[in-house]
Parts: sequence; structure tokens; C-alpha cells
Amino acid sequence: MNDRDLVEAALFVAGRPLTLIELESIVSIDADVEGIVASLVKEYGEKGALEIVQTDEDMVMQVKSEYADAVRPIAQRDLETPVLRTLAVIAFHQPVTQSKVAEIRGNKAYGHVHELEARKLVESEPHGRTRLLRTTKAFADYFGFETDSLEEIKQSIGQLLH
Amino acid sequence: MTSGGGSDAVNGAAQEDFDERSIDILVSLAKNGEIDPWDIDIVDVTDRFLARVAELEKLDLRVSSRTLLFASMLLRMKSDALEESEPEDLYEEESVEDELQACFPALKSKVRRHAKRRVTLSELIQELKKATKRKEKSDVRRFMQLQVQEFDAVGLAHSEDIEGQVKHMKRELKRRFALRDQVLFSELIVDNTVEAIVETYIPLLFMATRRQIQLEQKELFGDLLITCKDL
Repeated sequence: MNDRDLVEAALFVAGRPLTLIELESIVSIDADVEGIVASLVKEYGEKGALEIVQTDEDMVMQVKSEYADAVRPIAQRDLETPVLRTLAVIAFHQPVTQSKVAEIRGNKAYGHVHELEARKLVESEPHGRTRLLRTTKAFADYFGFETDSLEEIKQSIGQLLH
Repeated sequence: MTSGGGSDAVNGAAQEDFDERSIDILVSLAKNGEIDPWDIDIVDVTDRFLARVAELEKLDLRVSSRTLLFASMLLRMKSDALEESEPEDLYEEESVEDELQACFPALKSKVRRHAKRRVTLSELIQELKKATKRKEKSDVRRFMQLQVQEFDAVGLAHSEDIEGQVKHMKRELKRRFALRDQVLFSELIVDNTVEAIVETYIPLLFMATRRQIQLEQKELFGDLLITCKDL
């Protein structure tokens, strides 16, 4: 096992950006991790469907953008469809009561809201006998909205709907 | 001194006699083939030795304490042997596992990537459209059920009544379409109650199914736009 292969294997299996410290923890003590990553970035950039992208803080192995759309349907999403549908309803109607969401999505929406709160994509506050739901800054970051203003998010979604 | 010395001599002779007797028991067990001197099963030997001692006690009450000592030592060895049986089993299990690993080295699991990708905004919008469509369908279904229940409750043949409502709606729409091309659903609602909305909506659904009109909703949860097709 050489250090170059170890870094490559780590970037593949992680499926997320890795920091220099994380990579240094698995290679030999005198390995030049930055040099290895730079060499891998060049090597992967020249051929194949994968690329290694390096930022100031971390590095990640991913599918090159020209292949992304074609393989996206095969890749598993990190939000299940029913939960995503409930999130979409909240995002479009927010601020919206939990009971209204349950009326639109059915009783399983309570479990979905619980999961979305755990993922920090939705937050709630007491509102009479129910709770008032809205999306969070993490939601705006996740979907690439420039602002976390509820009105602007609703407006953007409304425009995209038509 | 003499008596003491004589007593010692007697005791010593007796002791030797008893020791020999104990050894004799073991030797006779070996000679009779009841034990194998090269492969002694302590548990078995103890049991046989004690059985023989019991027999001798019946014959001679002066069985020596040394014989009983041998018996107790054998008993101790027997209990130790029984106690040791558990760790021996464990050792055997370990060795079986080692053997399995040696036979099937490929059982080591492969490390595979289980990454999940992020959802795109476009997928979020698609799901919103689906959620809206499902809600509309379930609303229509609920309204239809409500309508049927109401007609059933007053004992009316609801098909005839629906046709009556469709006829009424057709007249109303013809009147309005004479003036313009499109009519809003909200214009047709006389009374803003759930029942009135349902009574207006249901005949429109029948007419849309028969391709007499076209129903269109430009905005999500917005007003319905009615266009004449074949009235």
C-alpha cells in the first residue's frame, strides 16, 4: 500500500469533502498529502468521469459536471421522496401551521416535520394548539437560495412553478 | 520410651500396611483393566477407588485414614478436572473459529461507497407540483363523496340530480360565453359556503370530462379559468 493509493481510496469511500487532517491520519507520517492530492487532481482532470476538487479547506471526489445530469437519477437522494414533498409544501406555504401541512400531506407529515427539524431544514414555534413551520438558513444554503427570507424563497418557488 | 518406640513401630507398620493397601487398590484396578495407567480418567478412577474403599470398609473396619486421604485427594482431583472442563470447551470454540477463518479468508467485508447526493431545487419544485396535484385529487374525491352522501340522505337519485345541475350550469355558461371567451369559477359561486362551492364545481367537472369545457388553473391554489370547447 502506498500513500497515493490510500488518499485515492479515502476520497472515494468518504463520499464527502475530506480535510487535510483527515487524510494525514491514514497515510505514513512523512507523506506529502498536499503533493499527492495535487497530483490526483491533475490525473483525474485529464481523463475519466470523475474529478477531485480541492478548496482551501478540503478536497472531494465527485462526478464531472458534464456527466452529473445523466447519472443523477441513479444516485440515491439524501431526502426520501415523501419527506421532500412535505418540505416543498412547507417552503411554498410558509409560515404555515403544522395542521395545515398535515391537511395537505396527510398524517405522516408529522413524522416528516420531525425529520426535517432534525436535519435543521425546518424550524417551528408554538402557535395555539399547533406549531408554525418555516424553512431555515440551512434550507436556503442547501437549495442555493441567496437569501433565507421567507417571502423571497416563496416568490422564487412560485416563479419556478410556472 | 520403649513403649512409645514400640508404639511408633506398630504405627509405622500399620501405616505402611494401609499405604500398600491403598496402592493395592489402584494396582488391582489397573490389573483388572478397569483403569488405563497411561491414560487415567481422574473422575472414573475416583469413583472406582471410592467404590472399592466402601467394599473394604464392609470387610475391615480398620481402613486407614491414609486410604481416606488418598480418596479425598482423588476427589479433589476429580473436582478440579470437572471445573476445568468449561475453559476447555471455550478453547475448542476459539479453535473452530480460527479454523473457519483459515478456510474462508474471503469473508472479510468489502468497503463500498454509500454516498447520497443532495436534492436539487428542481426536484423540490417537482415534488411541490405532485403534492398539489394529489391534494386537488383528494379534495375532488372528498367533495364527490360528500355530494353522494347528501343525495343519499334525502333519498334522491343523484345521477338525475347531477344531470339537472349540469343542465343548469350549461345554460348559465352559455349566457356568459355569449359575452366573452372565458369565465372565472369564482364568478359562478352564488354563496361562499362549502356546499355551494361543491354544487358549482361538480357539474363543471362533469362538463370538463365530456370535453364541453376546459378547466385551467394558472396559479397554484388560484382561481379556475373556464373556456368553452363544445357546449
